Amino acid sequence: MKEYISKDEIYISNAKRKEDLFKEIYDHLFSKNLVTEKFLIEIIERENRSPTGLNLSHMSKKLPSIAIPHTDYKFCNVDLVVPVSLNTKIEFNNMINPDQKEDVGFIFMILNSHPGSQVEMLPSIMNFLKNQTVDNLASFFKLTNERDIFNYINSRDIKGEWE
Amino acid sequence: MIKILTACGTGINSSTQIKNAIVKEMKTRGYEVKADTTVLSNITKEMIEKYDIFCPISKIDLSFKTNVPIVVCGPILYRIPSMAEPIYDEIESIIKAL
Repeated sequence: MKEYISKDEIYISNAKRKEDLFKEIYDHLFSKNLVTEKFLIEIIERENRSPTGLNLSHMSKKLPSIAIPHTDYKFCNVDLVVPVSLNTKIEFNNMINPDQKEDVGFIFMILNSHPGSQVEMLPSIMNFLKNQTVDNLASFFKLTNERDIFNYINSRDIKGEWE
Repeated sequence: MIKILTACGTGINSSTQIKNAIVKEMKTRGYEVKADTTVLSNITKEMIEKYDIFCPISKIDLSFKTNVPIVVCGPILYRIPSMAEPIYDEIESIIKAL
């Protein structure tokens, strides 16, 4: 995953609603021309139609749920995974059981600029999570500044551990 | 040749992971599987019925009835064998019954 992380695109959010969270991150991304103008409506619409909340309780009850919001490549100008730590948990619907609610404490927003790029980004996130010990991952999700998040990912992510 | 259709919200990200994982695992189990991906909201009866098995990422309420077996494959995305095994087993048992 670290190959998709930019130290300038890591955020800590105080948003209390999903829409506010998306708007906040979109404002940063759009101002830097990393996404197109339509990205915001598209990602909200896509999240409502096909939610992306993932429960990590199979790893440990200590871990918050996460979400991996993303939308069509047409609305992104770069290939990036944007980590966002949420100071307040935000409710997302579950990706596998859309009727189920997840209290999400951390999101990895996927920006992909062409159809091929996306294919490796999701497994890179899942492998990052899988390769951490539960205790390390629990402390990772509690990090409160962007630099610590960047340093953790950069030092603990093992590229090429899968397949 | 067994034909499988996978589907997720954008028709690329999760559905491609699911497709690759199923094709790889079924090959290991001795079955030649061909899989395509699509967007969940585009699903039609005609589209599904060209396939032997339909593998959406999540539970889905279809607006039509179909005899094509449906296996929800989202847990494969976690890339954790204990979560994926039951899904592969279900797909294999459907293939055997075809």
